[in-house]
Amino acid sequence: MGFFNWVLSIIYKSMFLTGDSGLRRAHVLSKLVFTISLILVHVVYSEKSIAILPVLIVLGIVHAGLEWIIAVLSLTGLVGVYLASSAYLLSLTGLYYMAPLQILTIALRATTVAMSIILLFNIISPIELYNLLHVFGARHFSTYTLLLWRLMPLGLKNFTDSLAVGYLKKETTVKRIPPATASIIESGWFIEEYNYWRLRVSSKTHIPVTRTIIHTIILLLSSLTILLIVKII
Amino acid sequence: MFDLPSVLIANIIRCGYSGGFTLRDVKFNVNEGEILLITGRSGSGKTTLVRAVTGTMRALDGYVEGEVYLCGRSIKNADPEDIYKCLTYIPQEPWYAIIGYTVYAEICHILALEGYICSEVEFAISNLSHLANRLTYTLSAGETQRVLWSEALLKKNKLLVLDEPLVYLDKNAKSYIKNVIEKALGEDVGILLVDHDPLFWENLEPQLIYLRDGRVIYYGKWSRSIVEQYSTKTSTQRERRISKGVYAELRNVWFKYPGGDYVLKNIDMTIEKGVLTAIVGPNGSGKTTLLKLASGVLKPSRGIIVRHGTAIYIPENPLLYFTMPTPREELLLASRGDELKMLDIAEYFNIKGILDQPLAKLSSGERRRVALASAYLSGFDAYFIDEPTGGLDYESTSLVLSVLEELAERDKAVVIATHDERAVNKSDLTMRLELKNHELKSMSIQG
Repeated sequence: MGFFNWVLSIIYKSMFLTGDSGLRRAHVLSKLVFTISLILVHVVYSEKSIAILPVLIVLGIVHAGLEWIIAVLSLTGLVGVYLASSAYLLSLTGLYYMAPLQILTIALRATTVAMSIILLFNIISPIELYNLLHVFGARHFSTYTLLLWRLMPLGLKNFTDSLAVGYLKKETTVKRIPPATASIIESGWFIEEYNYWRLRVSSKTHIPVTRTIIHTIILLLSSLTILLIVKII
Repeated sequence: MFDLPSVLIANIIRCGYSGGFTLRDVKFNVNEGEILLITGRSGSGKTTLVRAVTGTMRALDGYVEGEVYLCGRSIKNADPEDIYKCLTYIPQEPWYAIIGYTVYAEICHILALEGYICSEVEFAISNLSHLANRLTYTLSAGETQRVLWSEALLKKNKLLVLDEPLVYLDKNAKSYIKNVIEKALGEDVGILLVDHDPLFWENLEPQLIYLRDGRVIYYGKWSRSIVEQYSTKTSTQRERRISKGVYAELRNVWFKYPGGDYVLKNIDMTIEKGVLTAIVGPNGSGKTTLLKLASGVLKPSRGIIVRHGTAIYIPENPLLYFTMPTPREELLLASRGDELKMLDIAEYFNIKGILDQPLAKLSSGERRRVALASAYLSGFDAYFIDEPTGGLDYESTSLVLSVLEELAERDKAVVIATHDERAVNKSDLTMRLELKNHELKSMSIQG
């Protein structure tokens, strides 16, 4: 139960620790530039991508502070360690030999890719998505962007609460997972019931977004920095 | 179409769920500026009736035979936009009525659906400025209910449907809500209210519907004698129990949720066996968090908690407690397969008639009783229960409180977080969490 709960808690912190703060307040164009830069680094300069890890860490601290970056490093480190140990085990079988440095590179690259994905997820502003759908005429669906960001952490919270109650009831994690999962599904049913009419009407206007110039500049500078790093190295 | 001052006309022949509960022959009107109070025992059909009149029955694959008109339009074929403009529904489980991931997104979305662009003014007039940036999944039940109330006021609909609106609210919030309702009535809003405590609304003299086993047993003007006839008030006179030893000690306990500030600071507390302890305090003061810490669901950020024995925590949303899909299976699991013992307890908790119904389809009150019955059967050393009487009628409240007292008399540690005076009156020890400027300032102990 302990390890499973810990994994859930770092997923929870990595994805849903903050609301509309930090880099989420950067201008949408700077987010687009940053996204393209990251894709470029991972697709075109994939062998050098680990060099941008320090920039991503600093960016993470700027975005949501130490608590967040520790959770993200734990989660991405877990992915890195898993892939590296798989590679090491493969190497032990003799089917495909890998030098220790190669295994370390796998771990770091997996960590960098995972951190990039988490950072991109975190800078998405559901309100901006809402407004975008509104502008493009998909007004009915705009509500679902808000709902998605509401349901994911709520479901995760209910799931962990249910697991914790199961722990007190002396149930095994395996036995507790089905009812904990059912609690997420039931949350969905109740939200559908209690918002029955609200989910069937469309928004008539946008929701104002708070933007900060400083976060926009930081994101643009970071985009430039990561491109320079992979170019120079 | 009807052209009447009625904002709600219900002429229901039958409604319910296939193979499940059925409500029959319910007819009533709610006119502009009028309040109708629906009350009755837990499981009598109050929430089913609310689902039928709000048109949400179809979300649960239920059926409604008869007619329901909201603001003059039949609910069967009305445009969703018309119903949404007519109706605000605040359900018993408020956390499921929120769509926005932050309070800002939630309030602004409500306004966007109305065609208004939100601004700081709406948050200021709703007294929500301090909550605007909060993630909604971190709100307490009471804070969630406050957000929903603010939305109701901003929407200015003609009909308010409120299912147990006071369950999670502190004393101040309850008085505030009562004033808001009085004001709304003055502005010709029709109100359909479901509450287990009709006497709280006496000064408004609402129209009254009493339900029992899916049928209306009284529909008419407010009558105190009718209310007293159908309600059994809980007795508050009794001897105070004394401690039978220490179950747990909390020393210099601090706690903060990820990404947030400390919600509990420097808490020193001893949890006694053999007494019923009530934790009270305003919305958002950290009552639920304290229960979770003391039971072991959460670990403190700082400080030490020493427990002597097993503990169970029953959340305010009892669905999170259950392991099995039906009460029978849940209770059999708790009784370790002893069917006779299970049936005895089902009888004691008055849940024998619902043993084979899916837990998710039970009323909130029934779910609470099943969760308590399951915990009772399991025989823990300490019971930490969040809002044990939330939304329960007098009879169910009496039953639940007598069970809690019995547990205490069997030398168990019993700790509840509650806003319910009936539960506080039964407690031997009251711990009050105080808030000042949204920070926990002190904890006082009475008893």
